[in-house]
Amino acid sequence: MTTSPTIHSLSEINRGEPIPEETLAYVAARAKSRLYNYVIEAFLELESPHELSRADLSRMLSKDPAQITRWLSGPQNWTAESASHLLLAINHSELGFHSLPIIAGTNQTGMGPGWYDPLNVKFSGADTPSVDGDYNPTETTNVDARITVAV
Amino acid sequence: MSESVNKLFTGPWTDQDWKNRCVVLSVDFESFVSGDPISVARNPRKAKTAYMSQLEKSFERTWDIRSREPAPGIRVLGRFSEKDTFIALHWDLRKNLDEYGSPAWNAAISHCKHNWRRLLHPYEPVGDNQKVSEANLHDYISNNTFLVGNQ
Repeated sequence: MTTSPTIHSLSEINRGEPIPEETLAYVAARAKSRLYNYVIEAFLELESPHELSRADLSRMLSKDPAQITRWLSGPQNWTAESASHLLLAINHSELGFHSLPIIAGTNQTGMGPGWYDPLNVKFSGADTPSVDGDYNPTETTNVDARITVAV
Repeated sequence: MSESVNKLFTGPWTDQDWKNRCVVLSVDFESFVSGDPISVARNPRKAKTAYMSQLEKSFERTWDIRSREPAPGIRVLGRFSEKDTFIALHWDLRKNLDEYGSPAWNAAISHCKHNWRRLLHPYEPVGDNQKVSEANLHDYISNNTFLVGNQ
C-alpha cells in the first residue's frame, strides 16, 4: 500500500481540523534544529577565538567529554534542559522565545509541507494560500525570526 | 540528488510513519542547504552522532549524512562535486548496513559510486587520499562546520 504525497494548506489549521501528522513532525524537527543551531553557533563564536573550549563545557557542566561531543554533534537527544545548561555555560544566558505566525508560500527546498517557506517566513492576515503552494498575498507583514536572550 | 534519494521526499511512501520519517529527514537536509552548523566526524567509528562523515576509506571520496532520529536511522551517501555542494546518491536504513567494512556498507558505497559515474562522469568528486581534518575540512564545507570526536 502506498500513500500519495499530499500538500496541505494552512486552511486546515485555520479551520481547526486535525493537523496532518507529517506537518506536526516537520515543525517539531524544525524547532529542535533551530534550538540546536542557536546554541551551537553561540559556542562556535567563542570556540573559534579560543575563548571557550569543549573541555571548559565538560568541566562547567560536570559532564563526560563524550557527552559534550554528543550534544555538539546534533540535536538528537536534546532536551530543553540540555539546551538551557549549554547556553548558560556558553554565554551565561538563558533562552527566551517569540512565536512565529506562518503563512503559506512556495517551499523553496521542495521539501516538507507545501505551505512552509523556511527562507522567507511571513505573516499575513490575507487569504489562505492555494493547495499547490503558490501564494500571492495582498497584504503581508514581515516578522523577523528571532530568539530573545536574557542576560 | 539521485532519483532514489529524491523519492524519499516526493513519495509515494509505504505508510504514514515512513512519510513522517522522511519529512524529518528533509529537515536534516535543510540544515545543510541553509548553512546551519554542520558537525563532521573525525573518524566515522568514533563520532557516531556527527551530522556527516567521510567514510572510512578516504580514497573513496564518499560521505554520509546521518539522520539518526527518530528511528529508523537513515544514512544518505554521496560525494562533493565542489565545495558546499553535496550530491546525495544512495540511501539505506542504518540497520541494513551492519558494521563499517561489512559487505552491506561496501555495496552501499558501490551504489553511490555507480550513481556518480552514471550522473556526473567524467567529473571527479572533491577529495583525495587524505582523511578529513582541520587542514582540509573547508575544502568540502566552507562555513559553519566543525569536527567532532577523536581520530
